[in-house]
Formats: sequence, structure tokens, C-alpha cells
Amino acid sequence: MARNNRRKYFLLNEENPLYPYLYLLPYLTLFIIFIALPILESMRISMYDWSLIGPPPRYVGLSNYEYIFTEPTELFLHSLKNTVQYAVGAVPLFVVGSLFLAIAVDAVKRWKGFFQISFVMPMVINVAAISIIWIWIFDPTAGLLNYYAGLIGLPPQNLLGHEETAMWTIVAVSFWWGVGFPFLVYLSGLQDIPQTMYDAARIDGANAWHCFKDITLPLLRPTLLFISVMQIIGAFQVFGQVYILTGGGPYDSTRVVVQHMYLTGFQYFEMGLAAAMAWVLFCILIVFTLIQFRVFRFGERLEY
Amino acid sequence: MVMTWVRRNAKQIVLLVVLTMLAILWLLPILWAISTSLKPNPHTYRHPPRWIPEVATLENFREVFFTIRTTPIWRAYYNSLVVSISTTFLVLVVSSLAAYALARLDFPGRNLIFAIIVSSLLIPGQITLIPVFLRLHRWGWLNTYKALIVPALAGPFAVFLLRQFMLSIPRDLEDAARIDGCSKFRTFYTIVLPLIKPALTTLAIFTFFGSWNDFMWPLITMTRRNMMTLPVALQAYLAAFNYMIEAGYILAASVAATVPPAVFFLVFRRYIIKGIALSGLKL
Repeated sequence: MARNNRRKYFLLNEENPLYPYLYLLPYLTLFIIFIALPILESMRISMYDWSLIGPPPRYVGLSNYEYIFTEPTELFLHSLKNTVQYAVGAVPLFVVGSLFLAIAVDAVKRWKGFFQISFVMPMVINVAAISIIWIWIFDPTAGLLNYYAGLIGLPPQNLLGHEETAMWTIVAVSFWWGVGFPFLVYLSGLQDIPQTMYDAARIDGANAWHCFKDITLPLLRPTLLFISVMQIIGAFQVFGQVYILTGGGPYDSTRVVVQHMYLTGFQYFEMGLAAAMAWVLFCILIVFTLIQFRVFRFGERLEY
Repeated sequence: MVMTWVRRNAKQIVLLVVLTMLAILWLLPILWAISTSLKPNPHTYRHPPRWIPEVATLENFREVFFTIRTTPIWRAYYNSLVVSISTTFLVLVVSSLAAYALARLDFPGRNLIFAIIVSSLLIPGQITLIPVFLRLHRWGWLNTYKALIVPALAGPFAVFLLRQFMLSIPRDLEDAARIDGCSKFRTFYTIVLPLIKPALTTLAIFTFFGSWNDFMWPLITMTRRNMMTLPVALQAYLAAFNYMIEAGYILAASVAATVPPAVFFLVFRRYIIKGIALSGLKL
């Protein structure tokens, strides 16, 4: 009897009610330490004047939030505006541009594999290498771009060095780098549309535009929504390529929210202000994340 | 003859021409980087630009692999490999164990725990950045591999993905194994894991590339030269080699960081492409 009891309460015994928690224990511990608690701590930090190098943290209520919106340099507002500018350029380009690319590669009969590789390849290269390759092409004195622009009579440009062009140049480089993912998702969506639907439409006398408008687009709607929401969320979190390509310049014209947060937290060590910025970013993103959740019913899908 | 052929295939010809031009636009920057990386530094600024170097040399690569001016590339490679491989392996182990409990074992609080894990998907990474940094700072974990590996294991997406996949496989096999006296852990290890191999492969590829290409977190936590991962080290090369004055070195470092993942992609592209299509969630 006693022996039986010991075995029953030995943790590795499957009958033990605590047994399932053994599987969960490693992940749950990490989850609590690195996700759950930090979320709560982040709220708390955002209400403190919390400098890593100055005096000990001091509770200041919501004044960090007030400060980032009202401080005289208006850098946070400015970086919000720049981020919106990036999103306005990048989201339509990614959503529509990669759709057209996918439609073209889906329709072409030769070299499909080669095209696929070309457009997806940059995706596996890290952001620093990508940025360096393009900095070199845009180089005002030795850059390829200016040389070929000069051949057709265009004056030399410093695309990354001018306020009017810097952000759009970052958008273009980002598209070159990141087109692979939406492109592949569209391509797999297109391949799921049965050819018979197009054949039937052709017999009914539909032209290419009608086929696109009345078959392709409606059937791709969920994919389009998925890509759009993902690109919006991604655009608001853009950082690496901006940090390396322009460092936020010239004259802060490409300073984006995450970069401003990074500088506030890790160059000026104002943890309270940086945490407040993260929560403002969260408030913007949550709208789109919830759409994503609703549309794709996280937690319900595949449940039988 | 020719004209009718052209007319009949006009659409394909136009598509082919446009796509080829775009593909060239996508590949040329990489080829130009390779070309520059092979030129001696004084040649990199010569006009007109030469696609085939007049003098080709591997000197730039030798310099960046063993440089003492900043993180040598071999060291950055080593750091990146250690971090990415450990992260990928541990994510698979930790997440699949948790996913199995959430999908197949019965215990009080299961649904609540799952709901909490899923709802944390709503929180962008920027929120936890500062508290986790402060914690690692307190623990003295900055500039250690642990700083990059351990927090990455807590990501909820892997658990979510694997649990959904486990729910979608039929229970019969597990029941049969159970009747034959197979323990729960053995069922997990010998039956469930092989069945979810496609999901594990996808997750492994995504985790590996995510870790390999991660920029912001290592930029914050790895400030010592000998601990920098490839993207952070490369970024430091710009300053260490006077921005583009010594373009040959900087481009050699970039090419060295680009070629292995590109080759990996070419070799495994079927899995990668399938994995991405899968992550687009076949709707």
C-alpha cells in the first residue's frame, strides 16, 4: 500500500495529476519570465522616470505619455508621421506589387523556377548586408545608379541624403528585400484557384480583365487581407533598414517610431519614456492585430 | 511565319521580357556586391564601373575574416551559428512538449493557460524589449549567448502552431499505441512528433532564419565586439572601415554573410517555399 502510494505520487507517474504540467513546465517558466511579467513591468516602467544612469526610478504617473506628445522638439510625433509615410509607401507597394508579380509568374510558362528564386532570394539575406549593398549602389560618387543615370543624361542624385527622396528610397529597398514572402503566399493562393473556373469563364466570353476582377480577386480576398494586415503591422515596426541606410537622417526625415524608441531607451537610457512609446505603438497596432485575429480566428482554426 | 508565331505568343513574350528585366533588377545588386568584393580597394571607386574586376583578389575576404579593426567575420559567423542552432533546437524541444500537453493531455487550467499564451500574440515585441533588457542587465546576461537564446524560447507562436497541428492529426494511432501499453512520453516521441514533421520543419526554418537575421535585439544586448552576431557586426563594419572609403572590405563582409544563406536557400528552397505557403495559412 505504502509502496503503491509512493509510486502514485512520483512525478513521472502518468496517473499523477501533476504529470501534464511536466510537459508545460519548461515553456511556461520561460513564458512567465520573458513575456507575461515583462508585459506588466513595461506598464509600470512607462509610469516612472526611469533612467538607467541617473537617480533611482521615480513614479510620475502618466506624465511620460504627456511628455512624448508635448515635448518641444516633437520628435516622437515627427517619427510617427515618418512611420505613416513609410507605411503609405510600403503597404500598397507590397500588397499590389507582389500580387502583380505573383500573377505574372503564375501565368508565365517558362523559367518559372528562376523567377521564383530571383524574387525570393533577397529575403534570406540579413538586413545589414542588404542595406550595405544598396548604400554602395546609391553612393553619390562611386554608385552604379548615378553612373547609369548620368549615361542617360540625369544629374547625379544623393537619394539617401535628401529629405524628399530618402524615405521613398528606403521603401524601394524594403520592397526589393521583402517581396518574397507576400509573393509566395499569393502564388500559393493563385495555384489553389481551379483552372476550370477560368475555362468556364472563357467559354462565357470573359476577357482577362473580367477573369481577374470576378474570379481571381474575390477568391484571393482572404489572402489579400492577410497580406495587407501583416504589411501594415510590419510597416509600423520598421527599424533595421532605416537604422543602417540613413540612421534616421537627413534632418530626422526618416526617423521612425521604433528607432526613436531605440535611441530614447538605449542611447539616452530613458527607459520610462521608451516604454511609454512602446505602449503608444501597441495602441496603434492592436487595431490591426485584432482584425488579424478576427479574420483568422486564432485559437479556433483547425479545431475539430 | 515568324509574325504569326509572335502574334500567337505575344502575351507570353511580353511576360517573359518584363519578368526577365525585373529578375535582373533583383539579381544585379547581389552580383555587383560580389564584383566589388573582389576588387582591390583603390579600384572600387574607378569610373566607369567594371562588372568584371580588372584585377581580382581575395585580399578583401582575408582582411575581413581575420581583421583586428572590429569583429572578424569568422567570429561573427561563429556567434551567429551558435545562437541560431541552439535557439532552433531548444525552441523545437520546449514548444513541442508544451504543445503536446495543450493538445493531448487533460489537466485543470488547460484552456486558461492556452488562452493566455494565445492572447500574448497580441503584444508586439517592442513592449517586452525594455523589461527583458533590464532583467538581463540585472542578471549580468548582456554580452552572453544566453541573452539571445533564452528569451527567444518564450515566443508563443511556436507553441500555437504546433498545438494546432497536433490537433489536426487523427487520434487513432495514439490510442492504438496506448492500448499496446506505450507510455505517454513514448507516444509523444515516437508517434506524434514524426506525424507533425512538416510543421516542425517549417518552424525550424523560420526560427533559424528569424534568429540568424535578427537585428534589433542583438544590437541592444551584444555590445562587445567578440559577441556580435553577423548583422550587428556588419553594421559596425560601416564605421570601422570609414563608411564606403574602403568599400572592398565592407562588401566582402556583406558577401561573406550573404552567400551561405543564399546557398542554403537554393538547396532547401522546396521546403522553404512550402513552409511560407503553409504560414500564409491555407485559408
